[in-house]
Amino acid sequence: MARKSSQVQGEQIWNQSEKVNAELFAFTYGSLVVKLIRELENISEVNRQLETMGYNIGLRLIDDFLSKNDVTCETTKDTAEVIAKTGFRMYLGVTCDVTNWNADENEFSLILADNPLTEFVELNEDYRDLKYLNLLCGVIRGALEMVRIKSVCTLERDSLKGDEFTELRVVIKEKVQDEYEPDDD
Amino acid sequence: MIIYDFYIFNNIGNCLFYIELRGQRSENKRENKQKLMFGLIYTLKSFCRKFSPEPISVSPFTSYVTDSYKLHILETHSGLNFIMITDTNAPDQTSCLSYIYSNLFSPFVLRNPFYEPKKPISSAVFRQKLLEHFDTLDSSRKA
Amino acid sequence: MHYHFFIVNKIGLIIYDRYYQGTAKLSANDMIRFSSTLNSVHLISAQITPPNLRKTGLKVLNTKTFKLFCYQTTTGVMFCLVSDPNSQDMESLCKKAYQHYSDYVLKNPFYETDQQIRIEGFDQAIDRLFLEKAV
Repeated sequence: MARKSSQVQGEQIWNQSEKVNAELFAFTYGSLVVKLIRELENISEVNRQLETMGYNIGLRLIDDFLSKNDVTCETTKDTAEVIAKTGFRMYLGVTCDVTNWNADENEFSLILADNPLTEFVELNEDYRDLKYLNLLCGVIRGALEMVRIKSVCTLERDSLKGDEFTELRVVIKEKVQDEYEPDDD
Repeated sequence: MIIYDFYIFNNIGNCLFYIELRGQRSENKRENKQKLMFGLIYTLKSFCRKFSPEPISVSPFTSYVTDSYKLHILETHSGLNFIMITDTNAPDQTSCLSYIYSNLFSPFVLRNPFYEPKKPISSAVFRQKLLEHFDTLDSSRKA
Repeated sequence: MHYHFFIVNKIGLIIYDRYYQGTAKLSANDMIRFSSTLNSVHLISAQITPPNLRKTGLKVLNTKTFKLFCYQTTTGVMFCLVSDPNSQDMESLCKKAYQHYSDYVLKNPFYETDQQIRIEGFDQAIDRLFLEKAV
């Protein structure tokens, strides 16, 4: 590959971009989640709201991402790599690993070892159904939708619930072609 | 320079002449493509006339580029459109197209008493001369 | 010298435009017609790509009196710049404009996607971009 690897690219942009205090960021997110729980009084509704908020962020975030990165993703593998190495690095300051491909290469998992959002979070028993990081799932879904990839993203394993690491499962449903193709080859 | 296609259209959208220098298409597709092509240049011309900061008369645009190819066009006062499709790095071909117009089209087509205006050009000599001319421009073609 | 800059969203509507160098303003109707034409021109020009090449749409339009550059992002938004025929570097300017768009427009929580852009900070950033470079 002639172009910069996604890892290097993510690294560079991370170094150039302005930082906010990680605690402030974690506090903000934390109080947002707590506020949602208080207002909605229903954990599955909170999960849904978080996903929707993430989705709306993703719709905008993608352009920020593309305007600062020179990426061309031919295959789903490229897409996954760019999300994991450039995307996560750029916006969360961490990188994650891409694993567990299915045979058709349209499903993969993103493994997050480290995550600034959950650093001080302890979930108590009442909140065992809460998907604390569901916002991230929404971000991925929204961002992919803008580049005409329909996907579903779920929180498969959660380090907050005693799992060893956090796993986001991304399932690519469809790549929408918007090109006009009459009767071709 | 790589030359892909060459077209001549008259002002009402009849394709008078068409040559594919790289790769052949089926008859059906070819016709379809010619229609698209004329529609496109027609649209672009009216687009340019409106958009231009100063008024322009004939041949409002000279070329356009995509990531894959470059289209050059020369519109004559008589309403003929000479169109050539090349690779993206090709320089401006206005002079080449006007050479074809005045040194090939005019003698070998117009001066032929059997040529009927608005009908497709069947002259074998014109085709031959044109191909020879393209060979001098596109050195990789013969190889 | 830059004459005119505008942004077309992915369904072919103008969401932003700005004029420079005292160019005559086009009527709103004309602009609407243009932006939708531009979308179809983009599609058709990709369609007539010679065989065995990647199908891509119109990027630069050269004319005797101006040059039009279209930068289409992966998300389908088009950034278009009309400049004098000898302008260089229009691509990098459009990419810069894209960055400003993602910063000033998309990060503004009150901006509704695909709507008209009326954001002063963005106007200023765009003016800086196109006036500074003009000689």
